[in-house]
Amino acid sequence: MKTEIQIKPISVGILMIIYTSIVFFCTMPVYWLMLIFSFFLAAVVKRRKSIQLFAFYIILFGLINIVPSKYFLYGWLGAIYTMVLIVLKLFPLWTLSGIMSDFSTSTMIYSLRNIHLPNSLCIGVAIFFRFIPEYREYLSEIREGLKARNIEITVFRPIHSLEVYLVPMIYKAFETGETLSCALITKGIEYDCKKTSYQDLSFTWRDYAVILVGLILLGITICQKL
Amino acid sequence: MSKIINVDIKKFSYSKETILKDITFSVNKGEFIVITGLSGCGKTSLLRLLNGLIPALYDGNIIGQISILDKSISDYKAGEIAKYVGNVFQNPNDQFFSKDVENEVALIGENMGMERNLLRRQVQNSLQEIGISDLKTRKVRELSGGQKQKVAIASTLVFDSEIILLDEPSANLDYTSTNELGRILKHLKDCGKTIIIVEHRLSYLFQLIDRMIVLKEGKIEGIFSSKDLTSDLEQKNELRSFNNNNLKSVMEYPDDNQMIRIEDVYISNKGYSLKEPVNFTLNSGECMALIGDNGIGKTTLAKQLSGIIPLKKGNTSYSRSIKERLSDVAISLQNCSNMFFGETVEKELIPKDKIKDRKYLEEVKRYLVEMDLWNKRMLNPHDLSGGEKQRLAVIIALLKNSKLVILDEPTAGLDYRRMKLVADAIREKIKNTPVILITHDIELIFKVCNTAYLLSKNGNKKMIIRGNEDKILDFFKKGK
Amino acid sequence: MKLKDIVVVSLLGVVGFVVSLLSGMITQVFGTYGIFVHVSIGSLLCAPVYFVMCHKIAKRGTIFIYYLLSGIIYAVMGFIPMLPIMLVAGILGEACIGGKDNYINNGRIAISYVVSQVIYALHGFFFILFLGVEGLVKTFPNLFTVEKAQMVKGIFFNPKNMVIILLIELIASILGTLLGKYIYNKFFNKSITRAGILS
Repeated sequence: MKTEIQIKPISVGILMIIYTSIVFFCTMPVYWLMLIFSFFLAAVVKRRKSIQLFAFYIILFGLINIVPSKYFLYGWLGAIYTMVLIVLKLFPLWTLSGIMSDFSTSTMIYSLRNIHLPNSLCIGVAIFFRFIPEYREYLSEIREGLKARNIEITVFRPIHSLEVYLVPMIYKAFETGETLSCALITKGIEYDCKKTSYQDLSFTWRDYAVILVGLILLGITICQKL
Repeated sequence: MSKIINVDIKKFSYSKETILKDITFSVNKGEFIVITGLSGCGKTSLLRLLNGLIPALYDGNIIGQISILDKSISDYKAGEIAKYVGNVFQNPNDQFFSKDVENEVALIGENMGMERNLLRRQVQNSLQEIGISDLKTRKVRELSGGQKQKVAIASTLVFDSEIILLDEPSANLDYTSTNELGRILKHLKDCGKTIIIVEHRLSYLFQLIDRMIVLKEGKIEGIFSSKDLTSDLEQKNELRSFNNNNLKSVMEYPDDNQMIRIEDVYISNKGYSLKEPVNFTLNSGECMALIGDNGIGKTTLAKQLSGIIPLKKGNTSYSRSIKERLSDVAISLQNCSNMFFGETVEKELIPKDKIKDRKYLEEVKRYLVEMDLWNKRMLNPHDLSGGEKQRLAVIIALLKNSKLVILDEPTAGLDYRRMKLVADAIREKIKNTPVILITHDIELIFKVCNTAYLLSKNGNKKMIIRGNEDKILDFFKKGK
Repeated sequence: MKLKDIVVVSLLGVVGFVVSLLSGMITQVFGTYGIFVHVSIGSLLCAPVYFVMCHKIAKRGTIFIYYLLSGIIYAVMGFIPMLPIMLVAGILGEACIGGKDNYINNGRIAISYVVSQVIYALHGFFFILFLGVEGLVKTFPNLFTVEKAQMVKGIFFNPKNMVIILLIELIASILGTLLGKYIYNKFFNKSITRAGILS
């Protein structure tokens, strides 16, 4: 199985910045180009994920187009409708985020170090990504714990309902924090030397190509605006 | 032989409390040392002194000297010691920083600035050495406990650290994984690694031990060589048994009075299902061990029987609906800290409507005292140590007015004395309510269970334990 | 700050993030009015995390890192404009604490929390400002006429609604600080002597 990284986090990051700066101003053709290009990148990096993303987009887009918009401008349906529009609009960016979140923790750290972010911040960001799915799981464990204790959650005791979820999560953060710090320290994270990276993260033609496409999209948008 | 580690601690203390006193020993290159003793004896602190976590992470006052490879530990630069000392921790889940196996194993090399080509080679070699090359691209969170510990061990080999320290590595492992761990440790020993392991469970290490250090209340009670490891020593120091093979059940047969009937229950959850249905009855005075391979569905069955997840097919005599099951079954979960929601241990056990109930309060007090938690009753349950949490979860289950009690791994990581406390409490409980016990703790099974239900892909069966000890052990070893 | 502090702050950041996400889902229930409480429920519910964090990691930089991290996460998720907003929230949050010893001062924590959360709540405005009527019409020409888009924007962006949004946010975060203090004292404060039931 191939484990080399095709496109580096930094080039994806640069592309994201370009996308962010033009996504709200660009014309529809440029929007489509952005969308197609991000799907293409996702397909190169992770095929399965790109198919999921693509399917999701098609469903949302279909929904918005099939259902006549006039019914949905008010009430909570209106809010959801607007949300879906925003999601569609930002989808090229989110596809890139999807690619980003797929990089391994240490790849992310090394890339962040490369752009001279302080070490502690790099560790923080990496931990954030690593533990979000962990907490999703933990929430369902708490739900099981509540069942095991036969404790029912009701709207009539809002503070209690909040406590039973929030307090274990906070305690868990401290507990995990201790274990993880032990592991990191004994693995020499504080050792003062030039850190290396397991993955080869030097730029190849692919990265330059990605950035070039981004710049072209940026250029087109600027020209159209002028 | 050269001394690789020299320890000479006059005194070590956290703020006021003295944790260790007069600890003097040295370790030869290639030696296999086990440090054991009851919980709270100071063995974890000793290990933290050796791997530099004190003072890097924990504060404390140390009077004395520790040197590793002829250099005082305080002379190493921050993090440098990681080159020479590899670590494996107890909690297999939170000790990983990376999402996937190869990057996790590589982490130490990256931190130490190892050149990439060398690092890549070393990672391949380490994975191969431990026999987990096939896990290379897997996500860490999808691995079993045993596989996670293998990953942790593999990462100590990347830098070829001469010394490997392990802190209760088997605490969250089942029987087979524990033996597998023993096999890997033997391999490392044969490779000439110096291994220091803090552990309660000793049977899987018995063949490997060169010397065993027994700590008691912060002092060295004795240092024993392999030939001193007798059952006398076991009993005198309240140690876990050295050899599980000659244990015998001490339990009588249960009564004839049938209390619980489980009919045609199919184990199934999230796409997994066991073909064979589960059928058994429980009589009064019965504690039934529920055993089977890792992943066969023991915990799933427990959750189904207690109403935490739905029962798609089958009947339970004690209740008809999920709601009834939730209120009629008491359960302590394997991840017991998920069961705690109270402000203090005391309030965790005493619901508001029982606050005036004298008899109930007496019972709570008795349990707290018996389980050695009385002094901790004003702490928040989450502030307890791992073993204390487990005992609290057991008390919660035993206190509940229920028709059936299910305990899922209540003694993983407990020392002998505390395991016995749990065993005594269970024996008391089964006089009134049958108990189902999921465990890989063979000592516990032979202390409290009179029957066992064997789950396996080739069919499930129930047997009396007394007289069948060999069969039970065999089942543990082979899973059939 | 030590490594462990940063690790714990990051993990608490995850907790805050998860709670915000969940409360974001709750706001769906409020429909169009969701925009009024969009961040506010999060402000109410995340306060305990903030209180416990300040008390337990009473060090300069804790608050800053807490906000900075969510800023970076938002940025990586595609909302790069969130980064400067979070930076400002973090800096003001730290500033409101004042002296180094005030991280365990409930009053200071409360002020710091309210100020930083109100800043955070402003991000909704930026977002809609960015999208704009023109943006909506251009992106989905077959769905939006200029009037319709104007209506959508109108709900989000008239001065009255803006005041309401900020007011609700203010109240929510103040209530949040009360909740935060309550939960901290009940579950995390070790210096309080509690009355036991058993003796």
